[in-house]
Amino acid sequence: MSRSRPERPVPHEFNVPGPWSLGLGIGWRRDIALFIDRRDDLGFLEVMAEDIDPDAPLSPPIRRLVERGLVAIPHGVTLSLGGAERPDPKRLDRLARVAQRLGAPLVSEHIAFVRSDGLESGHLLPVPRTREALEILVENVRDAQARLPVPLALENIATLFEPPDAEMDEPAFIGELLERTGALLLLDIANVHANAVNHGFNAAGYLDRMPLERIAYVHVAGGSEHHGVYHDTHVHPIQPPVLDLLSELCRRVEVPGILWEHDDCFGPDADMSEELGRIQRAIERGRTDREHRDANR
Amino acid sequence: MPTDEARARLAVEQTRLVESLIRQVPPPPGFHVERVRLAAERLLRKRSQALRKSWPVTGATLGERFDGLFSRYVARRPSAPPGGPLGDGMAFAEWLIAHDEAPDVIRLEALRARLGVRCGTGGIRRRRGIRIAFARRASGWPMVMIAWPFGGRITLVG
Repeated sequence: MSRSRPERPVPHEFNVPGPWSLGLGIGWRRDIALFIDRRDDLGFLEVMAEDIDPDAPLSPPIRRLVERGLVAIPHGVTLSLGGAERPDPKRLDRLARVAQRLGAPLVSEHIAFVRSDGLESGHLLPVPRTREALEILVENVRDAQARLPVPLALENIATLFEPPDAEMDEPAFIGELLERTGALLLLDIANVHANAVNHGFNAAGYLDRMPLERIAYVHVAGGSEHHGVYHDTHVHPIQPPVLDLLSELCRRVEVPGILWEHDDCFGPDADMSEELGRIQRAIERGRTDREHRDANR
Repeated sequence: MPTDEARARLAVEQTRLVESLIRQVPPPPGFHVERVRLAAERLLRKRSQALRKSWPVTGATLGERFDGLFSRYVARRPSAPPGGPLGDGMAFAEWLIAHDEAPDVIRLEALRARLGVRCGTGGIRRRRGIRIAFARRASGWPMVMIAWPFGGRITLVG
């Protein structure tokens, strides 16, 4: 009797980091290197993948944090996985080496395109939510996964406008993408709020339909609203509805980690600590509600 | 499996959208014209702010003239070069030099940056070891900058 061949991994097999295994994180920026270094309660960081030279030694502040045991995740913005062209193998190999240099357990990118026909937009742009575009996106993500040494997490983006003729909504589109590629979810909760405001849908209902069990970690960031349009600035304070939505998320699941993205206008350390405190309290509110509910079940 | 035709169709639509954002022309049919214009505006502001931040000498030296000169540069270079704000600033400095708008301090800032990194596809690469870069002063005289390994010492000749 011949032995059966080992089964090929099923496409939807995935390994998410454990509940609260990453903890609280922050996007590493040079201006706040000292602030980050002084916080002893951080579990992980994100570094801009394009700013790390995979062939040079890590810069001392980042190296110190990695040596202290913080998880450093390369966050890419230039793969253009939602683009019409297949992802550039050189970019993928570079990202793979950055991940190895950092000893990262995963890498993250966006569900977006950034260039077309050699023209750089300088921005993360939305992919049309059509079957045809989804097929291309799935193939591109599989290309990327084949060249990366670690799992890939994909982030939902914030948009001011949407491509016309959508055939499905965002949770359906992202759900199928993740299901078919086995990619993890980097859920940006501020982007959910942004799109809910800008395109008029219910943010909590969106969460209900997202594959929350695939969350690798969560982004939260500040923004501002002008004339009914929400702008994902990463500069302003986190808006109260975004924190409420974060609580709403934590009411549903214990996520592996939450990372604050803040890019500029950093202000005094005390203000930044207060912002991290607001995030922690929002998580705690959701978590308490969930534990009460589970205890009464 | 997506077909080549499907990729070609998507490419046409995406190129039209990118064109409308970086050249500030109307978007393809079906897009929210006002929102795309708003995004284009913010994109340009983000690009200029990021450049000013990573090129403080250039920003401070040009002062009130920065915006006007940057707009003229962007009109020539709507699609930002690789390397993020660092690469954009290097190209902006070259443009300023070519248009005789770069005093020596801006040339020095660009020369100093070129000693440290190269900008290429996928991101920046640090230069290591002994590094040499050449440029001209506004007066036309050549200058050479040398970065020595260890300790980050820099020598300027000329």
